[in-house]
Amino acid sequence: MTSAPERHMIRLDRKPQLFSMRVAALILQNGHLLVQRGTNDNYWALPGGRAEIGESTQETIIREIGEELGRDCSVERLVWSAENFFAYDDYAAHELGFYYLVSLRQPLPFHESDIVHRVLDGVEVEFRWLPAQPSALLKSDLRPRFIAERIETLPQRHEHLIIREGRSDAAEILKEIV
Amino acid sequence: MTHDTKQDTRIRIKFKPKRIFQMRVAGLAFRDGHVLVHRASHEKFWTFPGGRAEMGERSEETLAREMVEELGVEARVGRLLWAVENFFHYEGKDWHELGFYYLMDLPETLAFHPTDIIHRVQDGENELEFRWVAATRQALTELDIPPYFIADEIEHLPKATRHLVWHDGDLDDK
Repeated sequence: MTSAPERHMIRLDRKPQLFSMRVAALILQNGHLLVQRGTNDNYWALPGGRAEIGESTQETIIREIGEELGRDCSVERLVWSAENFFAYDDYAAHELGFYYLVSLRQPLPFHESDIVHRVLDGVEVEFRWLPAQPSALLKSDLRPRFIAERIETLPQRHEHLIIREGRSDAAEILKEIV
Repeated sequence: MTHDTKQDTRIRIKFKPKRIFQMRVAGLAFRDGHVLVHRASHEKFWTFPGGRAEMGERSEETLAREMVEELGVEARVGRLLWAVENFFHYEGKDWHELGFYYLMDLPETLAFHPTDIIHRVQDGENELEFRWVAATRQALTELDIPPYFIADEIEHLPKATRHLVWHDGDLDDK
């Protein structure tokens, strides 16, 4: 495999600015959404990973699902692309995200509250199912937050979003919704 | 552009060997059945006006800023027509360009002529020239303006944003 081009993440660190491109998967089962987090993190994210140069976003998500979940998947459609601006550690982060609706060829175990899958990806990453409802996703602090707000009305056609998210006002949004 | 600190925040990443990622935002402005295009005067092909995205900047802001810098006008940025992952070869390098193409309105004060160059501006080492070209598949194909799928769609712009993966091929082989 020496002829394969080297892998390079699309990430630009110009402290205090950070740009990165991420491709994520919406995987739904039994009215639940699959989410992941590093075991040291206190928030959840969608499965997926960093885009790499030379790779289409569809290729990225198929590769990431293979690496993280050990499964083949079919990419149904692009749901959102998003320019997301948020605070991250000491950075002003600018994340370009592509969100695909994905179905797994071999389903993951289902449980309403247990960790259903773990993988070592630098750090240990754990996966669980959360109810695909705004209140449940906000309560578990799924980031970016716009996913929770839109999960019940996934657009039939790709939508491009421009989002500015603070970190501290998730509680306020939660109050409005529940 | 001078070598100021702004250079550092452009969304452009070089990888060895000879690979570049960049994010570009461009606009399609129409007048009298024509669409505005530009090129660096040493280039053979044209592009839709716009520029490289900057970290921390919304794509709409990028486009509006570029129109002020290049044309000296306030653009009204409309709907996003295409989000394209474009892979091509240019100046000896393999490019991976994420392109966002908006519909935009430019003020009537911007000159119109069906064939002549209507505006020139110095942009760093390059002189940019602007012209209007008939917004037809045939005229855009003859003009040579990547990404090439736009010529096919110019007469029927998408009603909702269209995302696509595209391969423009070898732009050096012109």
